[in-house]
Amino acid sequence: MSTTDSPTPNDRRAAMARLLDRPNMPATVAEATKASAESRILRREPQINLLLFRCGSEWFAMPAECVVHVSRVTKVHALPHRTNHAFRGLTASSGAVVPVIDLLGMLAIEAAPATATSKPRMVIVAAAKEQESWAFEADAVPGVYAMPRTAVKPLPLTVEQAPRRVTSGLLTTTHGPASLIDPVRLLSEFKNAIG
Amino acid sequence: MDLGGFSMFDLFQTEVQQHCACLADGLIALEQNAGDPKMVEPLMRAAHSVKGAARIINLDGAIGLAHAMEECLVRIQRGVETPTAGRIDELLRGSDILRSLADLKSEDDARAWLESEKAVITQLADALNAPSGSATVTPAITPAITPIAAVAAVAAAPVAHAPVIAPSPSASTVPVAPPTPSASANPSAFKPTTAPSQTSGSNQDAAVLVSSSSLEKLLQLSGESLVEARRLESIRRTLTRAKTAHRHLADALDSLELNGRKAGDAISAVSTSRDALEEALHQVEDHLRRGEELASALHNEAVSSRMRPFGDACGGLARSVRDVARTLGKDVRLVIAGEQVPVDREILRHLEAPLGHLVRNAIDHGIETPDERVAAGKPKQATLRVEARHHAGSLIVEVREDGRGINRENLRARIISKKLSEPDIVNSLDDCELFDFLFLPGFSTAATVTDISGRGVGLDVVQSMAHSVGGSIDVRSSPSGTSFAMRLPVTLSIVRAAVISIAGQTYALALVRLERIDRIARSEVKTVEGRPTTVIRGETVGLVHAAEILELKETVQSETAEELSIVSVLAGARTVGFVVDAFLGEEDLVVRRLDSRFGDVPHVDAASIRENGDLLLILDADDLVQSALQLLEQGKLRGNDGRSSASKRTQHRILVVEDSITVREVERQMLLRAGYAVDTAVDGMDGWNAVQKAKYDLVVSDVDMPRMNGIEFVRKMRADRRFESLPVVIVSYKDREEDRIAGLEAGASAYLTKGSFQDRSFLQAIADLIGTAV
Repeated sequence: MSTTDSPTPNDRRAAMARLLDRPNMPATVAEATKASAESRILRREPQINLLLFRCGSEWFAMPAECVVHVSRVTKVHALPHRTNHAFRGLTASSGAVVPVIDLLGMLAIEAAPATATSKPRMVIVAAAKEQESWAFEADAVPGVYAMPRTAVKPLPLTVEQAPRRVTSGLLTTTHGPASLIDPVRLLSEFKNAIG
Repeated sequence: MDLGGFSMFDLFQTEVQQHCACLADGLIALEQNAGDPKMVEPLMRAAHSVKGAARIINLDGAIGLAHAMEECLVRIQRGVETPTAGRIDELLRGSDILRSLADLKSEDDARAWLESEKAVITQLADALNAPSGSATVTPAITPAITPIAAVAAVAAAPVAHAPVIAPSPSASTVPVAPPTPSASANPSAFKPTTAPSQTSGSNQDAAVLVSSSSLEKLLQLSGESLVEARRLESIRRTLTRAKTAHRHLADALDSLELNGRKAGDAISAVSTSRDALEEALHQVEDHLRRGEELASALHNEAVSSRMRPFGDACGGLARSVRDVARTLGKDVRLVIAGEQVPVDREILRHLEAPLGHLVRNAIDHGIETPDERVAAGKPKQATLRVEARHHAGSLIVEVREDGRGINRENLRARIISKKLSEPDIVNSLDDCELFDFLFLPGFSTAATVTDISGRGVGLDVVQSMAHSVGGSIDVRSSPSGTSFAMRLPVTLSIVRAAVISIAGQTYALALVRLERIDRIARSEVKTVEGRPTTVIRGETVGLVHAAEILELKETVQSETAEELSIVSVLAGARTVGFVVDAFLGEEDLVVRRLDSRFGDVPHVDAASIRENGDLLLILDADDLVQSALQLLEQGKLRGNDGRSSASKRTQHRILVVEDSITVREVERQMLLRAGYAVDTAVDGMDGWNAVQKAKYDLVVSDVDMPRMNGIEFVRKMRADRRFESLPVVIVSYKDREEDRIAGLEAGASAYLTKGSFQDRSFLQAIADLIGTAV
């Protein structure tokens, strides 16, 4: 007589053990291996952390290691006989007196009217540790993004050949194309402007 | 303590400075106490430590010399030899050589200098190793670096001047009095005495090595913490407003006279939330008070960490007095008072050379020889007192001796013989005016030039140092002595300043530089030869716009204000009045030097961060006056009504933006006839392109235009920093109030209707904004 009794707890445990102890299917092993290898390949690809920001109508990125901090917008005081298209003046940041670059003026970017996404911030930057810092005002700073170094594409020829460019590459971001700023070039241009 | 930022050579230099100071003072004391063996012990240790430090960085010449000094001191301690004046001289010279290493910039420089002076150093080491009394002559050594005082002196007057204390070749050729028995027989003559003072002996703080950049960072952060603490004040105000609104809500609820359980619950909830709000407000107030107190204390402490005791500037004085008095055969007791008086380390750094000059000057000119003193009925031994004290918010550093006093007749004769003034005038000068001549570069009353003083280079350096830090110097003299008292700011880190507004931004001027601050009506401005002046307390004062000197564009408000704020600054005996927007009050400002990347910025002395966290610039009043006078001389300042003349230097240029060719032509002609230069644009877009290509003093715009209307055009300009203060006059057919408001809200400076062409209010509005045409 066949019986259709429901499985006892012991039966359930035995079934679970069989499921867990079953040999791996070759396809499953191959899939897991591929996934694991891919993630390692991804991890090995050089990453860069970039601060993304908008100035006027253009988006920019800057290596995050150069950024000292991002703060609320502070008042900028013009420095007589020195303030010009590239240099707005001085501001106070964390108790220090910091020069403020006019990115709009320096890069001849058109100012954009304030929008709902505008959240102006003062970005304090130092080209290297222990070096004197400087600042610029950005119209929006969404944050720091990690991206593979290969995501940085070369500049168009017309930009690359420009005598006083401060960017070193182009990126595609969720906000659209962004120029990667070379802080050393930017600082050098700034020094030329105030010198 | 983190010494990571210091190189081995930095540490060597610090150590050498400390040990050589100990050697210099200790050797003089040893000489006075006839070789007390107990006094030799610390000197041996000092020489030994210098030897050890030099060995770490392999400075062979220094190792050998320090070793010879140590060996010599060992012999003195054992009583094998006695510390004669000659032996002490040799040891002091050794200490000087080692001390010189602390002034060099790098280890390589130290090696090069030791190599170049190898022969001299070896000879001195040999002399120290030889028994006392051997006739060994050590040739002079070339100073490792030129002393700052000597450089300053040479710069002030082109007269060769050898440093007095550093052994120099000229020392043997300049005729100076040989050491007299009276001087060498009375070693106590050179004993520096520390006089009791307001703070002496109370607090012997141990000093630690902290890099100045760390100290600066500490000061910055403490200032910022004060700003942040005060930011809580705005939260407190918000909570206070919420509390008031809450009370109104509760009152309104009560007035409804609601009944029932739900009404009771609502009233109870309001009461609970009111209590919570009260509690939060109390907590914030308490936190604000404690946070502010703590941040203030921290900030004050950080600022005061820039102070050092006055005694730090007196390190070399005992030695200087000993050497100079020995050379001149005089008997002098040095008394130093107020060694613990705190002095800003920047002032202290500036103070050393002038103090040295005053001390040498006092011994050479003021103090008589022992015989002369006895003949004059004075004690044989003179007293030279160097004192520091705080008085009425200033630091007074006084050098006073009980010598013969300044001979006024000699001084008058000298002024006349040098043709510095007419005899009649010289004879009528009072003491104050007469003594001013002592500070002229190259002026000296000494009949003969000695290596000590008398070249007239020194006192002018003292005065220029005092002036450079905003101080002054006062001379008093009588037959019983002379006193030179420098009145200096207690600190260069904090300046009491008048905070003013110029061209819409905040500036400050140190109060010590200001004569007075006044507010006058514009109608009180009168012209003299076309230049604006006003009468303040009976004196006619020439007016200059501060904004013009600083090359800043004045705001419309300051151009049209009916009252003017005048800051009067002394220019010699006269006054120049600077027109500023407003006087905002007096504040103590922590001085921040400007970034070296900007170089020397004309008219700007430093920056400072105010208590509200905003930055301001501290102006250099002397530089402002100098520029104002220069520009006037060159005919570049020509204001005539108290309004800025900057805008009148060239013809005003106006851009007319109008789509109607008729109206455009009417406006252009009117403006041309009034003397303005005019360009035109046919719509807002055209106007936007035009303002970017050329510089305009004012823009006249219509409202209704194709492509970009006038309102959009004005908004676009106001959003751009380059044009945010460019005056814009809107001229439109639309004469409704809401149209006018829309124009002004967009940022227009004035809104006129086209009917204004008939009644000249159009030209008047433009004249009000930028002045009449040239």
